[in-house]
Amino acid sequence: MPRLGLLLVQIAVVVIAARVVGLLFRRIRQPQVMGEMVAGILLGPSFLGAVAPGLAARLFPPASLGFLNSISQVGLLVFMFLVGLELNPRLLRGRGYTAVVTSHASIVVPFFLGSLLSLRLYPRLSDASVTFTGFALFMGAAMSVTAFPVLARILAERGLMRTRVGTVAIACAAVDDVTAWCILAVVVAIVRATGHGLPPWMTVAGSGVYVVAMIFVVRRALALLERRYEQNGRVTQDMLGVILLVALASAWATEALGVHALFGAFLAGVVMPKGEGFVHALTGKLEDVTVVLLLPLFFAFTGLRTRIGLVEGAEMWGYCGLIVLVAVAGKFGGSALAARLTGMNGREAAAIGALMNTRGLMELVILNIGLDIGVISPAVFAMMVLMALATTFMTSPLLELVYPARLIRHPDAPGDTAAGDASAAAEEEDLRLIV
Amino acid sequence: MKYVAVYLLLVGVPAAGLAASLRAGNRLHAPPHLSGEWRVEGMPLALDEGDTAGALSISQSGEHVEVVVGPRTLRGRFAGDSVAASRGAMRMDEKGPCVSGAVRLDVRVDTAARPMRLWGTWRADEAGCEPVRFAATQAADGGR
Repeated sequence: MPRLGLLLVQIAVVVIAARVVGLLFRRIRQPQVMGEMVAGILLGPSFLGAVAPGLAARLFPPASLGFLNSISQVGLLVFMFLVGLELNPRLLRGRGYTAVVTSHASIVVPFFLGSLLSLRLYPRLSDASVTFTGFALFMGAAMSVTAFPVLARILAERGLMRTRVGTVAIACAAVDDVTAWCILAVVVAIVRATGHGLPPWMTVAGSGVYVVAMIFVVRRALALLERRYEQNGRVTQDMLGVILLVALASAWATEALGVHALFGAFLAGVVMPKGEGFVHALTGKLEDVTVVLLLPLFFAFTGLRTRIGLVEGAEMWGYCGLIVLVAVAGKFGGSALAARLTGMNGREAAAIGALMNTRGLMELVILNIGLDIGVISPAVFAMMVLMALATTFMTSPLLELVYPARLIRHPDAPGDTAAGDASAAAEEEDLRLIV
Repeated sequence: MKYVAVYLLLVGVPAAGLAASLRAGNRLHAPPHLSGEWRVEGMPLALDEGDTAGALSISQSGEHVEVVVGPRTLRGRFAGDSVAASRGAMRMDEKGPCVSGAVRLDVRVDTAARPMRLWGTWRADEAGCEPVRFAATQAADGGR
């Protein structure tokens, strides 16, 4: 089949699989993105490649995957820009001591447990081309991720956004997102510095200068866009062009600095003006194509790289189980304990733990970076993908178990279901939810 | 005061633990990096006529290795300085016991050489199939 023809067929198959499996997962009260992640795995060697190897080889020949990867990477850049755009400093202000301690503990505890687990995994599942420090820092960063977009979606669907649990969880997830990406930037710089590229001091110093310049110079310049938006009442194509150019230039700059292009795209989103109307209008322009078309391609590409067959035998499944256990203990345990010790009741603290434990596609983004730079092996990648699926899948049932809907204390209308539904819809409008 | 104690307990202690584990881990050793293409020296890695693999490819997850020789993918383990990998019989277009039967690779690796070198045997577990003795040199990273 000609290259373009094959690419179009691949895209069509991926989009259909993502929508169908996504809808099936919604039926069982799971976030749609969970189904889309599973659809990606089903199209890869772990399922399609195993049950219909001939079809899989014809549909996704290795030589064709470069195109699919390129498109999915552009989609990821836009997605990370949207995640940064959605991140509002307002979420972090005035959340009190509980949010501060919980967010810090929800990063440090899983990070520590991830590094502890690395003492066991490094000699068995890594190789000498990777330093222990790089491996352990990466595992720690991967363990400490929370999927801000998925968490926001779950909070909105359950009408939790304005409850105490919701406000603390969303603030913690926002802090975790920023922190995890900063840590990951450092890890990528360390790992890349040992192989090729700029010297580490140049990467660190350059990244520091770049972040400061983005926050104090570019952010102010971008405020002009919001004024233009207020004059025109819409985001024009010219404005969109400038915004995309800023995102792409920022991605290029961080890639050139030896960090990662996705960090630059995220940072560009963070420094965008945060006026509600502007953010809604801009997100509306970008999100549908990104979510419906481009993100499923990323899930499919991830699925094509995930070979669950590498997790073979009792020993490997034992390591996989250990990874899931440590991930849950670190994130759920660390967050819940911090929330409990800072004054929340047992159920609310457990709900915070369950919410913070969701890793979703942010974990997949980080894992793909780890595999690309060679800091994790294909088997560890497969185990971590399974961990991401398991922790995302368990969020809704675990939340229902520890903090059932009947016990949710809604400040607007306690006990009023209709008002609660209306409030949930309003919350969804307040915070555009990209997955 | 209570909040400071809680913060130290939940953030300070794990942070100290992280520093300690990073320190302890720097004494650990992982297996050598075998991943990538290995060029077979001198001859194709052939079990039968028409079998023309001139290279083998290794994908590694620590001690666990996957070796691809032509159309065959073998799984095995790296222990000490040796790799032992095998796979069961597979259905292939070419007929013949030496091509479609179970196969096995046993090699030793000179990890001190640069580029690394390995040597050993490649055999079909069938009567009448001669093992192939060969050596190979690591060509380039497989780009995992």
